[in-house]
Amino acid sequence: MSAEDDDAADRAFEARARAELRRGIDETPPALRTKLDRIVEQALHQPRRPRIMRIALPAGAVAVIAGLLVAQPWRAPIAPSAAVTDDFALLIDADNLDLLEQMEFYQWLDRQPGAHDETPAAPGSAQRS
Amino acid sequence: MEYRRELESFLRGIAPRAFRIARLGLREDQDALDAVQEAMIKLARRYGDRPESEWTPLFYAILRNCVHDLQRSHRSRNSLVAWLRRFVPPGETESPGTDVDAPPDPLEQVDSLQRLSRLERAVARLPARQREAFLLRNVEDLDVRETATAMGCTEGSVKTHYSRAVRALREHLGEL
Repeated sequence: MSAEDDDAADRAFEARARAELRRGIDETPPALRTKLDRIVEQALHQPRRPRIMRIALPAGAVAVIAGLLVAQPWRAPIAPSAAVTDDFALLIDADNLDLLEQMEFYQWLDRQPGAHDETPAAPGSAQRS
Repeated sequence: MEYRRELESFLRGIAPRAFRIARLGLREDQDALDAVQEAMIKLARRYGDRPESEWTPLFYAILRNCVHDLQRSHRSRNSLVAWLRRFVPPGETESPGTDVDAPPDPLEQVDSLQRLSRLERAVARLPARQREAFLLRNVEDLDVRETATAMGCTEGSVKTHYSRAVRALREHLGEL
């Protein structure tokens, strides 16, 4: 069967199927029609939801979700770790600034000639020699 | 008031076709009535003020969801029943007069009714998307665009589902 014949057979089948289905609907039993009529009556007596509610509810929901996404209240503020705060306190302490200066002095001292002799040179002696 | 008359006329006209479509998806009269009722109530409450030309695809989109919800709840119920049956001794679960053993409905012996019945059984066995496309096009006479709106898919998808449905039915039923 060619593609055209096949399509024609499809169309013929559709037409017969459509006629059958519609005949079935036309022959809906009266008892069932009564039930359907009752359903229609019930639907018609439903209070309509006001238009403003249909717009306001989704808009409100979107606003709440957007607010939550921005604020992210479920995420706790990030606390700096103890190690970082300890290092920072060490640096800003006045006593420790003195210690830093002394460390620089001792490093300079260490670089001087004869620094590793038995008797360490006194500060300033390197310039004198 | 004018709106109410138009809506009433729309709902009365669509009711038997909607019932038939829901019935083929759910296979039980009462379930189909429930689905139609829910869809009509939702349409009347939420979309009654939309232009009348939009009612049909909107209604079928709602009905489709109602049918799916009922199918899902049936599947859950059937799973539970099947699980419970494992604890019942064999032979105690069958109720007399199941569908298989029931005598044939006298009306179905009439040739034309048999033809319709065969067609409906075959349509009911189609995959859901194919069945929806076939019924919306042939029972409700929706065009491809309206069918796509009702089914929540593209027009191309509707055409594919529809042509597959027609081929499957033709292969199964012959020339009807």
